[in-house]
Amino acid sequence: MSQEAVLDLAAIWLGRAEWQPTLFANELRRLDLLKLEPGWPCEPFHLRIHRNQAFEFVASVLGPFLAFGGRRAEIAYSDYDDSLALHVQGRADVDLLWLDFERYRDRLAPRELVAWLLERVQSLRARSEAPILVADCAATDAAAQELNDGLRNLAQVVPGVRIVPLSQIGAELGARTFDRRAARVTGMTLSDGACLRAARALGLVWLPAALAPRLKAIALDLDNTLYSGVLGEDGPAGLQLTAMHLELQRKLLRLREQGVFLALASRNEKVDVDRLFAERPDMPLRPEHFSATSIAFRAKVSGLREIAAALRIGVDALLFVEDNPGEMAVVATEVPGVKMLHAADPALTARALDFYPGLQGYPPGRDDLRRVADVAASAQREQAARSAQSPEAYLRSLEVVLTFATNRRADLERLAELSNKTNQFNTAFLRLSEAQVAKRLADPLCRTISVSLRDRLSDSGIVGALFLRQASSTLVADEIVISCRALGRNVEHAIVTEALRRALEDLPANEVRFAFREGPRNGPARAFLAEYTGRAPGADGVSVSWDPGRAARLFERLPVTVVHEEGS
Amino acid sequence: MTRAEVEKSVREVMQTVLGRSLAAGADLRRVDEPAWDSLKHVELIFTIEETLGLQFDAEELGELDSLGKLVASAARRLGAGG
Repeated sequence: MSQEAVLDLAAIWLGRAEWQPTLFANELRRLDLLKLEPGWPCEPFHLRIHRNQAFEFVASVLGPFLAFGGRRAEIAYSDYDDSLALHVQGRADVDLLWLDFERYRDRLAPRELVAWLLERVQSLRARSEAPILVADCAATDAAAQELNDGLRNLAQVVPGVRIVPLSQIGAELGARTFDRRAARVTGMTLSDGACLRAARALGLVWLPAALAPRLKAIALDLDNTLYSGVLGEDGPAGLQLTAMHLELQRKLLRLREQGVFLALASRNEKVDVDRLFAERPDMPLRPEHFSATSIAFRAKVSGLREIAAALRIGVDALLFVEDNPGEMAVVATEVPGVKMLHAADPALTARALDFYPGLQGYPPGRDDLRRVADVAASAQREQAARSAQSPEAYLRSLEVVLTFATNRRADLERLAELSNKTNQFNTAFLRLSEAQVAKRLADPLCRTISVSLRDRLSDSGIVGALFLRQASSTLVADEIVISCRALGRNVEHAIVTEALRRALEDLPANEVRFAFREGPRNGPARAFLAEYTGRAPGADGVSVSWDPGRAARLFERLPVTVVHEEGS
Repeated sequence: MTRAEVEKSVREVMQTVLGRSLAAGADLRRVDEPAWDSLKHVELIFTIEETLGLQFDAEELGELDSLGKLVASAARRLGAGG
């Protein structure tokens, strides 16, 4: 990397750190936001807005929030249209419904309004595969609550729909949510304060969540981040744990409960850190909450790499929280891709965790809670692998159960999540949206198989997905993804073979073709396909004649229990 | 706050919201500035209110159609002299 590029990366992250007090302020200020111009490249995306009221007051301050996460929106607007005719032209990476629900109040009861909106959203879904965001009603009266409950149900029915909770902003601002003065001029009733908060929620949380998968881990500095003081100088008793530090630590624990790994990246002696946890029981964060640690008196770059490796994640899925700008500058240049949060002040850092792009705004997944426990069990698995006499003996000791489900609608969000998050065992990088997965689930020529994995140590939930399609006498595996949590248990052959066998019962074919696309880190998928088919995959993928006896022979020697589940 | 300080703040807001520079001492009328449409007008009002900590009356929003009128109304509300 050139000296210039190195300086650029450091400058970019320090520039972002300088923006934090403005973006994460308790009271946002429009003039401060309007002055922010990113000194770094921002990736454009297309935002299509279907509306019956002005969005411009939000749009004018949306830029800095999006730029913090490295994005900028190219916006296409509908006319002010109460009928929601969905006539906006152009492509969309995200569709947003931005409605003043007050305008329907005299004509439609909340239930009727939701029924009408459901039809409109389904119509949009039929013509757009982009994620759809629906901003709910910012009012907090009973009718608004009934409407918002209905919208949340709507989001359960139509794939790829998320609700942007303006009602939360309404609850925070109370009487300051609306400003009827502007309505005389523009027809919009939201106050400036509500527009600023909506811009922050959209720009930092909801649009990033619609466009990219969640961050997987947070690596935390200790000194002057989780408490005030320096452990090596002040000792455990001399450290200050303020109310805001407690709040920060509790928020981190809530993120862990949602499946985000916590890790420690500390420039301290291990013995001092052990004393810290032993002598400060008032710290909400305890040693067992950290899925990986790097505690050593050295630069943090190698520690962060070790943490990512231990958690089997890419460094670009890691958020590093650190109070020292010098350390941040080194990490920016030495470990490009790591996201960073400058922990200058515990209150600001705690609020930043509510908004940092990639942390919030994702639907609670059934597998979130399993993820952390699963990694904790991996150390025991590695021990079992070392002491086992053969791979078969290792698998037998684990008591592995694989559960296969075909075209199960309830798995839709997890299937899309796997397609979007998996990097190592990903054969095609289709990055399927929920709408695209839903389309495949409804297509009689497609079979989408989800694979769950459990063993005697943990239940990993759904770890694999095969997106299959019949094309004349060939079964095409458009994409196969297996979470890195399942790798290392030698079950890839079992997953792929049994899923193919099951799909071929419905969609008979003589040949299986595996689509393949080279990615930055999908060496494991390439190696698997080469081993499975006997040939290296090319740009057109790789094909293999299907041998009906293959599954039976495999499971004769593989001590894995296979279960097939039915159900929607 | 003096009237000169009020004018300085209003000018800064106008330059930032409208994305243009303003000549020192010169007035700017809405009718002469294409970027100053009804949406920008409300954004200007919101931002001046936030910056100076005041609130204009709903009835006068439409009448505040020049830099001079905005400064005069804001200064009156803040009791700014000089």
